[in-house]
Amino acid sequence: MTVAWCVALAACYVPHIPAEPTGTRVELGCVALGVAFRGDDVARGPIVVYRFVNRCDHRAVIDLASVRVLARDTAGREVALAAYDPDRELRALPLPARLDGVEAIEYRGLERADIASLCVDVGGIAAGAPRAARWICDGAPR
Amino acid sequence: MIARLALALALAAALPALAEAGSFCHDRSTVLGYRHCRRFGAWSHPVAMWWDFGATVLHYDPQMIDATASAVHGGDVTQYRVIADPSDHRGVTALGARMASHLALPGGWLYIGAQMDLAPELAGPRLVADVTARGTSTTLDSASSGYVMSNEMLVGARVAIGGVVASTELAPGVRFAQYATSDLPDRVTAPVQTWFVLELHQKLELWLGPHTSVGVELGVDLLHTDAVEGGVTFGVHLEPFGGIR
Repeated sequence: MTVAWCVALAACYVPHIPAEPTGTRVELGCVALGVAFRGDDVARGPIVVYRFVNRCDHRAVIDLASVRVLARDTAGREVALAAYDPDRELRALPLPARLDGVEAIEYRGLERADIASLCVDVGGIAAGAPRAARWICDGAPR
Repeated sequence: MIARLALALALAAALPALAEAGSFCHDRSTVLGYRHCRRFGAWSHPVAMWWDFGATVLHYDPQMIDATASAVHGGDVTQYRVIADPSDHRGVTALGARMASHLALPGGWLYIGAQMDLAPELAGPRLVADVTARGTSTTLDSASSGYVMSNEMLVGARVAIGGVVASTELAPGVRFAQYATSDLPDRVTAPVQTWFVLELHQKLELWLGPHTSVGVELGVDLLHTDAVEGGVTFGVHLEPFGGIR
């Protein structure tokens, strides 16, 4: 019976293999971060995709709520964008040792078509690492 | 037995939803605020699976011995009720092997699993056989050459404290014991008994590496508090540090 249990449990398990971050790479202490910009058929604003890997043997706190986002419109004005988070889920969470995660977040405040360039400050994402501004910029994400 | 099999099958059907929420739920978008299948921060609480292999020692009170042996003599079945000699207070001690499988539920701290112990008896009391049909009793040699087998489900909670994982488990299950004696006639089956257990386990695991650990465990049967058990196990984890560190 125990063997049957083991087989049943094993059959249900979906193994997880940490992936290397894609996009622009940043090392933030234990956290390797990849940032990519893209559009989406559903979302109105630009979307930033964060892929992160904890390379340490202990937890690392990932704080995506700390990200500052600035967009420059076609007239050259700078506008601060805010994460679209209708359910107020966005918060700092621990990432277990040697595991990874991905989140795609839409930022609102300027229509995507009006954005000439977009910059995100990811310096605060790894909550345990020293805080320093780390700006990553892209052209107009479509 | 059937209920456990049904439960295992039910879990087999349900757990993929826990392991990979997208199996039954499809979102149009993966963007926060537009998806409904996967909450923000699912990466913080991975589903983890691990196995333990090792040695176990089981010990229980001689008063728990209440086994039955039977023999057929020309179509008549003779029942032998086998108990411990009341004057012999040695408990049954068995030392053997353990195998366990665990699956941590999303959230990381709660897990379920199954455990099997198979342990030859090292020591035990003298046995007394009551031959029911004859109204007589016979004292048998020591019950020191049988075996004890345990099959248990596990429901546990674990917490990481530095490099150590501390766990508390509740383990309902069935224990089976067979006592080998040389004093019963050859045509008589070996005395066997089966009983339910509800064990409380306390366990400590120390990480040897991201995917391996060593653990010690002590347990007591809440239904028969004179029955205790322990184990030393080597753990193999699919997720680094069990997804909890």
